[in-house]
Amino acid sequence: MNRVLSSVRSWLGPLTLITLAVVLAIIFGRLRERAEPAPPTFQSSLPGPSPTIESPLPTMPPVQTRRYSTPTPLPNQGVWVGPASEVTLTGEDITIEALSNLDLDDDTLVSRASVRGGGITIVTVDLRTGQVQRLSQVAERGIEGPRISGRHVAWAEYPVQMNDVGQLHVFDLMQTREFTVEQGLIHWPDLKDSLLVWQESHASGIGIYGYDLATNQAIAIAVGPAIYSFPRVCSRQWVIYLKQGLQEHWPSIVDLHAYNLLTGEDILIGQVLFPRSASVGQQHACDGQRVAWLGARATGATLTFEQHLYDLATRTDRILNLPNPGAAYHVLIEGDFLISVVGYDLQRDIPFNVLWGLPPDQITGGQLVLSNNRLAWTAQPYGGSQHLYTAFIIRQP
Amino acid sequence: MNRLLVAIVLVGLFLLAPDSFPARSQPLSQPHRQVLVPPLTTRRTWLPIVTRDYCVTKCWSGVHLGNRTNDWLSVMLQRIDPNQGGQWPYAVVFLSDQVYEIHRYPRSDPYYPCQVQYAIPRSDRPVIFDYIRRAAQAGVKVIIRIYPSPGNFIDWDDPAHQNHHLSSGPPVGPDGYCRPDLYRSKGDLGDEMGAIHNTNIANGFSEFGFEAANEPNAEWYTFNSIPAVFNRIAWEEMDIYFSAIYDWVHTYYSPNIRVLTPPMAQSLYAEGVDIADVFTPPLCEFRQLIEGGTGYDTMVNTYGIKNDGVDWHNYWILYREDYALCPYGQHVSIYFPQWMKDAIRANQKPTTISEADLASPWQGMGNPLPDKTSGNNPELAADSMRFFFWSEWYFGGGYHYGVRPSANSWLLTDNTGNPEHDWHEAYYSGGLEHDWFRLWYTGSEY
Repeated sequence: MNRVLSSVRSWLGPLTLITLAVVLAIIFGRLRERAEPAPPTFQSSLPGPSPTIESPLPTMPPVQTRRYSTPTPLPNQGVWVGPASEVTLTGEDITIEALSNLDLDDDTLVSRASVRGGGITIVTVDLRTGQVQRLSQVAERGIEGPRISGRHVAWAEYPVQMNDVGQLHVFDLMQTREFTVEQGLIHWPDLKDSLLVWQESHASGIGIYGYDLATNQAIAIAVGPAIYSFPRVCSRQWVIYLKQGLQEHWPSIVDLHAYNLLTGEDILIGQVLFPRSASVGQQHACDGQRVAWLGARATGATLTFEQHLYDLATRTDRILNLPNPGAAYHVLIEGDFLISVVGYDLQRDIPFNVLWGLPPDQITGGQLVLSNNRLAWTAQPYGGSQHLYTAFIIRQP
Repeated sequence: MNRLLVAIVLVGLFLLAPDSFPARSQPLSQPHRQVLVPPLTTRRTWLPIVTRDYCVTKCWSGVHLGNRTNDWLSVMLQRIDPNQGGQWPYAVVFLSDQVYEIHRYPRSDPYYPCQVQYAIPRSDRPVIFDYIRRAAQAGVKVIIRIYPSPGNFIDWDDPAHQNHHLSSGPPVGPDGYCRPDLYRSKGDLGDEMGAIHNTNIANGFSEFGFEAANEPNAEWYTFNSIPAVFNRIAWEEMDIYFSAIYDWVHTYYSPNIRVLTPPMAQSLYAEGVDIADVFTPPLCEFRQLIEGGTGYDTMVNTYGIKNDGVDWHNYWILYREDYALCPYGQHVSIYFPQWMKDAIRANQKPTTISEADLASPWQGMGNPLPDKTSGNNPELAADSMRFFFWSEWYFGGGYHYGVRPSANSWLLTDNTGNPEHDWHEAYYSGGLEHDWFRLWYTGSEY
């Protein structure tokens, strides 16, 4: 019995320690379960929480909604965008999942269309009725463009497996026939007033070429030892384009030029932003005698962004007084309206809000186009389905 | 007595168990439902007491060491070196040529002309190498980006890139392995990783992993190259190339070498949504390849199974730090394709943002913070970085892809005369510290 008691006593000390160890282990185990960093309890020097937003994606794991603050709208000075209406697509035997690469001419929208089940086609949409017209076969391929002007729609098309060489297609909406204008290393087609321009690579360099659909004449616009890119047709008189050196891989800014098709004159307009992102080449636009462009001026350690408007008739440039966030936003111009970071009525020199106050799911994940005073845009909340909207810019009489 | 020792050891083991550190990953055990308030409020109320100083290194914040034309000054390392009173970062990132000399066999070698023979620490960079060695030994993750990494393009001698196809075979140029500045095969990049790993081991430490290239979608392709960055074939060829590097390293070198994914430039077709597009409606434009789909969707091998960790870069603007969909937040990872998030989670792949910072004016993202130096901008910058990094760690790693990432501040120092890099740097070339860095690094991580 004594031996048993002695044995118990000899175990008692260590058992106590082991028990203590187990208790500590349990306690620290619980601590470990909670050993995630704390929520942000630091004192923020930033503005307080923004209003709660509805999640656009109900299946997402938790996200935050703390810091974003809604920007301030411009005051209404007699120009505004009217109510948006959704366009319901009808009339084709295909189910369109998404429209992309939009272009607009009056009431007719042209777009690349991704079709359910796979494949891509080119369609026009009558924004008054939603009527869809398919212009090409549904197939797997690469598409740049399309562009529309009057009776013509143009796009560049690349076979998926051999997509170095593209074909420049034109569809005549009046004659309902398609034909090929050019085959080669083609990018960035643009079309206006029956004048088709594009970038094309030859052994001599990467130039800008054109084709007059009214006269069936080919035109060389900018060729030589440089990289010419992103051409835009302003009118049957003027084409603008970007120019960079052959050795310049991805410069921050590039030269913006205008070429006079009637005289052969070439003008350096200024230096336009050339962002290293998918928005490159969308910071300049033109219509008639007006060129809208986002300038970038480097001074020392700072880079200043300015919204310019160049008049090809008078050869004068002015900087518009617009709120400027210093971002590589897209620039559109058509008639008397310019849209960059905000809208701008060139007739009255008045800035106005564009798509202001619409719910997030009507203004995210899409593209905006402008023709005369009509806007059209797509929106697709992440993970959701796409919708097409249109609205008019309204001037107070 | 032995029992007493056993008991003490048991207690010690519990206290020092590796999972005492912040969890690297937390498999999601709840349905993926949107909740506006994170479901953690009550059980975290007393945690700061336990965890605030719990990490030996920073818990997730790292530093990209930058670019120098000569060795780092010790003063530039003061915040991130405990020997100088600082704290180890969670990770450091640097370029291989900044720290190592790569020795190649002679051009006349009959078997291996110009191929990588071995690597040694650069004799003119003792300060930074000593720091890296000590850091790795202390548990800091050392991530090495191979430089140069120009790709292996068959039109390597055409500056216009008009036949810009990426070869996964031997070096494409006539000088073979002798011109790694112009073209590098998968094997040459893999051999450099192996050589650096071996010299690290010989010096008593191991790197965490290697990045084979830097933003190849931006550095290798343009909008005018053929194929261009928006062509699917470009991404298909990159997938083959980077997968081949992974296979090469794991065939011929130590299985302990981690081949991390190349970090892609954001808003350039990898993730499919332009998160910089937050000012002009429609916002957050979808950006797909002209054949449809995204770059990541095309590189399913590289970003799926053929990697030992997933790396990316992330720049944002002030007030978009939330881990929320564009335009409310600007976290790239929220737009990873679902299969990629699943692959990270299922395989518990380490995740790293190897460059992260507020965007400079040159990046054209419209950052309302024009600099990180004037007025109270240092406080704003430090606060923004702290919150962005935490958001990524907590929401991205904790929920969206299931592996806690490290985020590395771009960058510690740069004396190469690049004004865009100067905008980001923590130290002026002469060694003077920017206030934002002091405020950010010496403060809490959350």
